Amino acid sequence: MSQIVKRHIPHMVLVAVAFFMAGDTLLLEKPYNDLASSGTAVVSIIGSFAVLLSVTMLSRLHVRRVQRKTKVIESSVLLICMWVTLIWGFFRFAFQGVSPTKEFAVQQVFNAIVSPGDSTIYSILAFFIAAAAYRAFRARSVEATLLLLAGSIVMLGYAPIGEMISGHIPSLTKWIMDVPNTAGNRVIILSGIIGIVALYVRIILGYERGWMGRGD
Amino acid sequence: MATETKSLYAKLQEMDVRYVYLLILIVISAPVLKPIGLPLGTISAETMRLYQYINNLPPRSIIVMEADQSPAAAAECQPAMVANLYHAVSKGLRVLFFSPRTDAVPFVEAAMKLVLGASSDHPNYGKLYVNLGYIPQGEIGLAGLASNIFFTTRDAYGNDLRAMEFFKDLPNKNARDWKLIIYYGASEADHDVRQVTDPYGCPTGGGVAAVLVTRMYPYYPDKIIGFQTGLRGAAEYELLVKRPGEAAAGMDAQSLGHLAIVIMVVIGNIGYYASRKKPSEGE
Repeated sequence: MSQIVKRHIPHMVLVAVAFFMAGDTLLLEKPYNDLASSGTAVVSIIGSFAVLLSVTMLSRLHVRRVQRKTKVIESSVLLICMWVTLIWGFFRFAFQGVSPTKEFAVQQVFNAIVSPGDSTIYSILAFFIAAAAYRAFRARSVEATLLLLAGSIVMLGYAPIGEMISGHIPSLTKWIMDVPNTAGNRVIILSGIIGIVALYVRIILGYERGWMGRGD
Repeated sequence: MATETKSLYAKLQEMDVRYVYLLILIVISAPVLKPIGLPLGTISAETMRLYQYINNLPPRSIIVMEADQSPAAAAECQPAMVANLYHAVSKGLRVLFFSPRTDAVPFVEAAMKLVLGASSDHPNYGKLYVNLGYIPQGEIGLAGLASNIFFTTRDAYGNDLRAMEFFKDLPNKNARDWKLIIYYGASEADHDVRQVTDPYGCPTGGGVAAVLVTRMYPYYPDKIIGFQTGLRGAAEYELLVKRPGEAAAGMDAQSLGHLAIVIMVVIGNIGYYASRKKPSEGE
């Protein structure tokens, strides 16, 4: 009985849902498609609850650390900031009807802290890439030399100065992107898709049971 | 003389990294402060195809703008979105915005305010422009939206979608009514091809960060009809719609920055080979 409830019934539900959703891509029947669309909405709703769960788990973990008197000043500040923003946004939206898209305080947090901070961290990469290119990008082998040449041509080809240096650089850039790059990327994409299909088939056939929790 | 040459190569190899940082700082910030005005050159086929496709759409056609740019990627993607929106507005197209990430929602708001002068307060909001705001769960959210336009019932400002004129005359109420979906971001446009282009026949476009461009080519030009490559692509589009903006202004900095990195790679390799061929006397 336990095996039926724990393993076989969930597996049968999964197989039924999998074939139902696969049928949505093959059949053009409005009631069927609408029902499948509702299934997609269910996934979205479950995902939203997962966010709620993760916030709760994070807060519980933090409270335990405080109870154990671990020094967690930085993460405490971050957690409090998260809760204040969350509660404030929720209060304004639920009781005063102000959308977070328009809410002044939320927008100020984004414009003054999140956006400049994220941009700064990303822009610092330019310095690291330049330093790494100078110190580590060496033509030590044929493959490294090809990579170096292709990288340099594409870098120049994607900036206006490339065409000023030589009229051939843009056409070489286009060839690199159109031929070797496209071929390599198609291999990666197709390999990934075949791997995913194989995984789904294994799940449907019951060979993969990780999604049920413990595989015993 | 040989010792001096050797020491020069050795110095090149061991140069303090802070000089590299200083050089990059100068070549990027100097043209921003004092533009040189380097010509942009030939418009790429990828940008031109996107421009021509949008240009040939009949008025009131629906284009969907998927804002997936984080603040980090916004420097490259936001000018593309602004230029595309400007083009769409000038052609009288309907534009539907949504964001699969929360930190991209303000960029939609900013683009609307820049091009239209207002967002939800605009007189044509709900008629020609609708901002759906954040739609969670990435590809699943997109699949839901493509299969049913009322997958989310309210827009980013809490207005009821079913009451909006924008959606009244749509025959299918799904992605079959869309003429183009444009992806802005640095993650991947593959999910637009998978969930919108293949099942519903709506082509994909892009205004993507340069790091993502390699991933666009496998689908170009059939599934992805055209795209803007980073800041360069956005600058090209700005020139096509005759509205030079942030991207065009950043082209000098990009040119000099790329050139500086290539020159440093060349110098680094010269130093590497010279020091290998001429071992020091002490060795």
